[in-house]
Amino acid sequence: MEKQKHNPNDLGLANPELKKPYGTVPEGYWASLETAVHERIHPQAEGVEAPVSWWEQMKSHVFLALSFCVILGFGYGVMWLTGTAQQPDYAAETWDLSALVEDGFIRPASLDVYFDELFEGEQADFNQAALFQQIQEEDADDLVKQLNQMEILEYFYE
Amino acid sequence: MTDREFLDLWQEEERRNYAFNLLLRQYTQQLYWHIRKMVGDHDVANDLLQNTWIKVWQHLDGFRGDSKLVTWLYTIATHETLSHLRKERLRSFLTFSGTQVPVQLEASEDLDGERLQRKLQKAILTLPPKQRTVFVLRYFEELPYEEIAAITHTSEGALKASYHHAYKKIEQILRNSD
Repeated sequence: MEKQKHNPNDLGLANPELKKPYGTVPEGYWASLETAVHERIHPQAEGVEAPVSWWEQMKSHVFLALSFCVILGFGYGVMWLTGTAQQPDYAAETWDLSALVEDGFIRPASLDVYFDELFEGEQADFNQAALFQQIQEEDADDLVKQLNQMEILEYFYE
Repeated sequence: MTDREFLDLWQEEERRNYAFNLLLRQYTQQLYWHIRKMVGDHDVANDLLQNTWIKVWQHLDGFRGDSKLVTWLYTIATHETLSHLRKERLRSFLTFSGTQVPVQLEASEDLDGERLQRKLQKAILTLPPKQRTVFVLRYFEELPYEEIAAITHTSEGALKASYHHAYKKIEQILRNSD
């Protein structure tokens, strides 16, 4: 194929000056390039690890646990100082109902129902005892009416 | 250092770094300016050049010697550059941002001879990537079409046609800019 001939008076492209590279590179670029390439090819080699003591291994975990203890202890200390740490003893034998009402554990309306039930129960017991006594008295009267004097004496001295 | 000498040096495990350094010093400027003409920007060219050398290190064991070592190096550098240009093209397409001309080419206080060089560089950046590759390798590196065909995996006939079109296009741009 015939080599294309360029007119030397033609614009630009035939000018040998144009073949020179255009642009600049930062100072020291070529020297640093070699290092940069090697750093990417050979990443820093891993050195031999020094033996790690038990304490060094556990230190972080121990400090974490201690920090939790400190936080919990601080919280409990605040509760103790303000008295919120002490809970009332509801298992005591004497039940202070008024204290329960004050603390808000029992509503006064509930107490009324309780006492009503308690009274009714006691009343029922009282009525039962009176009834029993009445029966006994009535039986005794009836017995006396049914027996004559001789039979009563015999009843007592037999 | 000939290709054979380098490959013999490379085969010795303990002298690989030394062999690689020799190769790097011998061809790095050549490859850099080839990439720089393709992308127009130093930072991009630097990244692509480093990527090229890393690939050279990784694949040098597989170099069969079918072509010259410099051809093989240009092949890697060209593929890295074309891959970058493809990604940039896709990015500019997706973001509707258009092709960005490097800042260094926009405005600078050139010396007399550099003004035309800057125009030429800007004109080269208007070429499609493959045509740009052919033009840079033929016009600046003055490589034979046979070697360019080995680098770009394109037939010589297609290369000649591509170069002819690129040449005419750039000439027109340079004329119109005056």
